[in-house]
Amino acid sequence: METPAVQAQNLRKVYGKLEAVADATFTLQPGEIVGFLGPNGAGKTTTIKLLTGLLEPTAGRAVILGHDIQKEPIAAKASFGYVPDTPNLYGKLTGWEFLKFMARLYRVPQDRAEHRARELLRLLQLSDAATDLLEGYSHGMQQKIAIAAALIHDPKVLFLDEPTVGLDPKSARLIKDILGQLRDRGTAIFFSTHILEIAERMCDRVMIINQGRIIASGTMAELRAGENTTASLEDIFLALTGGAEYTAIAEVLE
Amino acid sequence: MIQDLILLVGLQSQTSWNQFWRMKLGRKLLNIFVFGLLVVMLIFVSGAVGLGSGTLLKRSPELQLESLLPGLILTAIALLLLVSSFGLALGSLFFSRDLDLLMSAPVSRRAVFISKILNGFTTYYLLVFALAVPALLTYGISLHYGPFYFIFMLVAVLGTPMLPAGLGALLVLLVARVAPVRRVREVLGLVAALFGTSCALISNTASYWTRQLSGMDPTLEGLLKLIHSFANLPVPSLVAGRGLVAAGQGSLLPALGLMVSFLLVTFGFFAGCVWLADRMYATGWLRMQGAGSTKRTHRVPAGLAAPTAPTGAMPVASVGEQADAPGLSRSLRREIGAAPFFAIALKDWRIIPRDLRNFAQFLSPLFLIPLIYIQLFMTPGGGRGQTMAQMVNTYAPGVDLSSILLAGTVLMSTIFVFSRIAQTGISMEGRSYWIIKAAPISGRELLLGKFVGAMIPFILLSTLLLVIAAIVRHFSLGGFLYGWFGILLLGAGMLAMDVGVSVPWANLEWDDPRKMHSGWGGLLAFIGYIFIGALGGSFLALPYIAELFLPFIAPVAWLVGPFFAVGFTSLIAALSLWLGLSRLHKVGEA
Repeated sequence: METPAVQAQNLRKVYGKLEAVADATFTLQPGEIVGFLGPNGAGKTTTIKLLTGLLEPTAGRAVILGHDIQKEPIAAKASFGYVPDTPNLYGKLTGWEFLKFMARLYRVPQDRAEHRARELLRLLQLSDAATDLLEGYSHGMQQKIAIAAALIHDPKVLFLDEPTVGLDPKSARLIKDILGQLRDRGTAIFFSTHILEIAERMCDRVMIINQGRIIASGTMAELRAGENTTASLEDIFLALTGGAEYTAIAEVLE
Repeated sequence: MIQDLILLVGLQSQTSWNQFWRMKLGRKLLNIFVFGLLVVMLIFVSGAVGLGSGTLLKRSPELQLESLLPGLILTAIALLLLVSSFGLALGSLFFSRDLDLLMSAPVSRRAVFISKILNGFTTYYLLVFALAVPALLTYGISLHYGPFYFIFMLVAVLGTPMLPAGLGALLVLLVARVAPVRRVREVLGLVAALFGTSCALISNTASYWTRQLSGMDPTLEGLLKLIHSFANLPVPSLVAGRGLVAAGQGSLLPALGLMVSFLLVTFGFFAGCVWLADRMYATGWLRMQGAGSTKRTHRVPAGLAAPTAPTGAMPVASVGEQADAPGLSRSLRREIGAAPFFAIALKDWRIIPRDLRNFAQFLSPLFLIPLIYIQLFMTPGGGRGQTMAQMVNTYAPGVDLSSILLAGTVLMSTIFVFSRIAQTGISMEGRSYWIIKAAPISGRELLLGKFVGAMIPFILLSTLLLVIAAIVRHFSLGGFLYGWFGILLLGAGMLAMDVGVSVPWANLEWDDPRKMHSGWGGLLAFIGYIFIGALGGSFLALPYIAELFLPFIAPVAWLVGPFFAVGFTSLIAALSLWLGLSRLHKVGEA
């Protein structure tokens, strides 16, 4: 049996009295794209940070390609790439220097790193800005260079937190194409998004989190069957996370 | 506009209050304590200056300075406010995080501008009340001035920040028209550091300047003439000072005239500056929004300028595959160059000089080096240390004490430069720390990278300085090598300790690099320096002491001294690094 790309086992994160993530258990297989949905503050970013080792869980464990992120962090981290929701980068490095730095962190041999950085810059249409300092990049450009950095070592697992935020339609399409190709090569992709249309079209499975708890998980067909409906993902999402308050919108707008 | 202004000022007060009130209790109490202590100290010093000056001038009326001193105090404060107002105006007019929201909201742009200017007034008045008021108050009391002096003093104090605040804002907007605002902010940080360093240098070289000026006959009369000619200039703060003294001496009508003219000029100038600056603000702010990035043209990678591929033209699967060729060199240099720890050091060496505010942190200790060397080489006979070294050399010809003394000087002058890099090692990552934390590198590699980032430049500079010293002072080869060994050993210990200490007090939430330095970490490291310097240095000096007093055990001391020095320094370094490693997982958790 193939080793799962990602395993979350009873992951829990508590801040004081707030339970940000409660008992999250799920698995991702290689070559699978999973969309992670939830309202604002539901625990999406915290879950991704727990999976990537950026936060220590209060309980439970995250395993990446068989390596526990807390016990074998080097092996686990070497196998994934991560793109955060806000790409805070080193503003005083150029795009080219940043990619080379990332390649060294991930132990990519120099020749391969330079070639790969050059090609990723070209693919993400950043070649012209490669020698500019990152502090001068727009949000979308920073997002793209962060994606390039996450791909520099050819990861087997990719975590992306709202990857299309701030991207123009052309760039968003490009990212979707890239993710599709990576999936075809066997890369497991776990990404959070608020754009339900992207999740519905791209993902093999969708997970919905609300108030720290994963309340639904499955393919679109499974979700529809679970809710006994033929409705869109948007309707299922609102039904699961609570959408009754939207009926009051008209009154407010009046 | 007034309504908008009230709303915006209220908003600023509320956010400042919330920021303070929502701090953790311990931090809140610490802030109150440190702030209170600072204010009390300033009030004490300022009060003592006023009281001392008043008492002196009362006893020596022939100096004729009584009517000038309040004006000089107010002018000094106004100059200080002008320097701070530039930085404060730059920060609040261009770098406040709420500017996008406010500039796009249907509120008067002038209200936004004025509210941002007023934002700095809390700081201005705090400075005025801590620095000027105690001095003016005790001055008036010591000279038995009447009640009008104290009433007019309050008016003068309230009016003093107006002119520097207006002028500072105007200057910022003028500069913003000709230079990129982000660069101006960095240059300002550098200028502030240069200013502070210059003050420190001048005060530290007072004896040198006194010697240089001793031939210029600086008579008291000449000095008084200079002060009088300056104090009679038609500067608003000097006019206010003269008005205060007139009020204190009972000449109410002239006092009133002087104070009214002060208020008219200062408020009129403020209004004029604000009017002018307001007209330029929108243009300056829009320029900043559209400002491009810095293009660094060096080391452009080959092939990057090639035409951009259309969307999806190249499958991501092919990226980098053809370069996976055999034949990679396995030389040590290449291995080190490719190691993650070296990548971290290399990245720090690139980032530090590119941000002038960051670079400014190293200036003050860096400037001390030429100063120390000037004193070392220009002092006839080499100073007290050299005289002692010559004396020792007479008793024990084999002991090259001057090399030890100079090695100590080189160590102390260079360690403070690079300790800034080491102590802020983790903080330097700032909000980009996620990159390091998500990367497959161990805590050891990270700390090693930070250590190497500080240690290699330390080795280069300290070796260069020691070589210069050795050439000028004619060290023996043995003395030079032993001194060099001592510098590298103790320096490595101190920098390793700095790196370890940089972890528990790491501050990743900074916008200004000057704020990443932790006071507690710095204090702990400083205590550690004394510890390593005193004990490690003593072990290293053991063979010399033995040569002088117990020559028969000298061969043993040459083995034992360095051995214990290495052991002791390694122990301190290891303990500090262990502390750092044990706390590293907590960094960036909040």
